[in-house]
Amino acid sequence: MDSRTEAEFAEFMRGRWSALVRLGYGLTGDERLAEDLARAALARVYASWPRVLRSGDPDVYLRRIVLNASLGKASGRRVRKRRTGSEPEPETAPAARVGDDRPALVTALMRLPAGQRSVVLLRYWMDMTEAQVAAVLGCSVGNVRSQASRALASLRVGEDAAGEVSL
Amino acid sequence: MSIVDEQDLRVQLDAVLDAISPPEAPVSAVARKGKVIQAGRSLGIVTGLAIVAGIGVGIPGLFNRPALEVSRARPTVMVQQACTTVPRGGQGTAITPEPAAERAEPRSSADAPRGGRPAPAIAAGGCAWLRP
Repeated sequence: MDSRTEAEFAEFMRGRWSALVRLGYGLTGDERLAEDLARAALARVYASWPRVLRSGDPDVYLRRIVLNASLGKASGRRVRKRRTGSEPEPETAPAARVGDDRPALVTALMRLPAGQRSVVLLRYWMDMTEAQVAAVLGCSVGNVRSQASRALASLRVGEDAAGEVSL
Repeated sequence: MSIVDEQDLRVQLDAVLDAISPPEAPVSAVARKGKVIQAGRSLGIVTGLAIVAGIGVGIPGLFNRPALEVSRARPTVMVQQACTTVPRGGQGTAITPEPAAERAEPRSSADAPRGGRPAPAIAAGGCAWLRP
């Protein structure tokens, strides 16, 4: 990569870093993990920067890497649990921890399956359209719609349950 | 926490996620890691090509048998020489002596060509002739 391309990438990275870490936090519920996710995703983008630029929309590529990485971490946790012989945890593994000091909404998000969590963050935090979310996640618009609807329902139910427990 | 509707969820998500203050973007660390990934990819490509080349060279070798060893014994060459003592009107052929194994049994005179010399004489080498 020449110095001009390096500078382009540096500018791109500085412009996305904060949002990417926040997205990672929404996906994992852990700031350190979120930074790791963002760093790894950006390193992969760097490694194929000319190709990513040619694709026309580097942001889609970047978000897809972060989301896939977070989904991969979730499935990795399930595999490790199975290997150790204990009961596999649900996809929402990093969620409810005893003495959790995270905001209630983050805890509720962590209870959602990884797919629904991704849809909630892209659709309601990043203000992406259903079509854009579908493009990032590589699924149909109908799927996005149904995942969003289920996620909202779960968040409402979860909030009721959490309220009962905490009160 | 209470989520009323989609709009409410948006507001709450903004509040929670904007509260996160990420550190400075680690551009140089990311670039270093990216270069490592690039190098790994290049190494993978080179390794893949080497494997393909190895298969290309090795597989034909598995199916092609080596050539049989060529005998180093001296070949025996029979040479026919034009006969100079052909009688008038006859056709002559020079005959070289046969190998010893083939001359084990002496031939009788009946074996000789009609009008020609007897077989032992032929076996000893010389000229035989045929009638026209």
